[in-house]
Amino acid sequence: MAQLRKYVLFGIMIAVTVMLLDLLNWVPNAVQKDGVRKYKTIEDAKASLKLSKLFLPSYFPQYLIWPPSEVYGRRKPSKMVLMHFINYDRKDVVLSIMQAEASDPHPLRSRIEPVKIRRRDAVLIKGRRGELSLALCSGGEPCNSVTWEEEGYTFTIIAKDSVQELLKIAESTLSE
Amino acid sequence: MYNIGVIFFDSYIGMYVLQSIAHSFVTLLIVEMSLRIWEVKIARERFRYRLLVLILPFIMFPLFQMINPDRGSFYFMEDSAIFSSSRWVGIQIFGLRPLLYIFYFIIGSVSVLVFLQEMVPILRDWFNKPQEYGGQGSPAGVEIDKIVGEISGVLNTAIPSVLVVDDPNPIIFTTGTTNHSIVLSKPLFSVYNAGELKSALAHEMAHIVRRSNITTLLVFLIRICMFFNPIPLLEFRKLVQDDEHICDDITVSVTGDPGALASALKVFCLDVPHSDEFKFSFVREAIESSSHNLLLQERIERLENNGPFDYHPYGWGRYALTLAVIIGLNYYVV
Repeated sequence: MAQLRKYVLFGIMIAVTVMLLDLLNWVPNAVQKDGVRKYKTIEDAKASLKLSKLFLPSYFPQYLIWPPSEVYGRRKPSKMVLMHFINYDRKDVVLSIMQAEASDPHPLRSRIEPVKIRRRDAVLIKGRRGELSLALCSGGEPCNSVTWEEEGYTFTIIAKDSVQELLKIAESTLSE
Repeated sequence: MYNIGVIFFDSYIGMYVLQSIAHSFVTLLIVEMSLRIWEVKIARERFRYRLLVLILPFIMFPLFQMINPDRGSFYFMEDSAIFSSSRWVGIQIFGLRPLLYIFYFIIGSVSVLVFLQEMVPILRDWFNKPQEYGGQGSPAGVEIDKIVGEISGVLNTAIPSVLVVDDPNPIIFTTGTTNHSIVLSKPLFSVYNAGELKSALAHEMAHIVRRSNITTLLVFLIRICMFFNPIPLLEFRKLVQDDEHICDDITVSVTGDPGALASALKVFCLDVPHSDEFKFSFVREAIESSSHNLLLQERIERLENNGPFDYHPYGWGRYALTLAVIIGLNYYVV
């Protein structure tokens, strides 16, 4: 009985330690409003970050789940929004769209960041000059990306899809 | 400026500094609580538990990064980590990062303290001791050799050489890492009775059996590698003290007389210097002497209060559980 009591006490001690660490982990987010935060919806992010315009694609391949599974945003030092989209069948992130102020020195990395760039090409997205990267994600899966600038923001779209689909998504974020 | 201070913690070395300190705190907390919960009273067990506080934070970060190189990423912190230390140092108030500056101040102060107050004197002592006495001692004589031979028989170890040095202070210590010698000074023969002398020699031989010199050196090297971390600074002293307790226990198992060892230790209590005039050197010496006496006093009281000296079957299951919990929990502390 005394032995059992010790094991129960040990379990309680570990549970309290975990809760304490969890509480300590929550504090910086509570006092710090400017760092990277997770938002429930795109509207929440837009309102909280006071973004004049959030560029969203009007074309979405059917395999994607809307709304985005994750929306991250940051107000300072530079405004930034990053969205991840999940494949309906695979249930993993296959598309990420980031809109960051062009001056942002440390944009947040996407969950599907390419690990090996095979080729870079200049590309025109509705007349805007951009860069297309043909790359591989971890595990050797193709994940291509396209980057361009618009109205003081840098846009980066990474998709585990063909170049044609990627460019179609990118072009649909721009009106003209 | 964003940033150099913060960016450092994105580098491998920066992450090591930050995480090893966080791991030290978590490990210290769990070990100290476990010692109470498991009611660990035997010095040998306490030593093994406390060793975890020093060794695990030293090796855990590279081990975890090897298992999962993505462990330091934002998404690991977001999805899996239960505590992220970089969030704390990154807190910004009115454009400043006060906790980052405090953190740098602490690791800077600890580093300077380790180098100036700890590392330099210990290294100086380490290198000087054998040269000061090792070659100059004279053989202790037949009687001492006989006592040492008896103790060696009980402890089942090779008989070390015993050298007597001409020093006015009471001194006894062990030198060597493979070929050991016990060095003692002449005044001990006049202040010790037979039982005290046997206890003092048995204590030194316990250090030989335990290979304390090598253990202490390894522990010291780990501590020096983590010079920026305040926890090993505190834990090292506790470990050395636990090692002394273990050797005291071995001594009592050989002599069966804890009182003799207690009175043998009293000889090494230092006079605390005092002066009407304030002098920094006096203060420093007084602190050092008091600290030395405090550690000795603890050992003397433990011996006079009879233990516990007896060894009981070691709780390896509880130790393994504690170890697994520490490693498992710290994996999620980044």
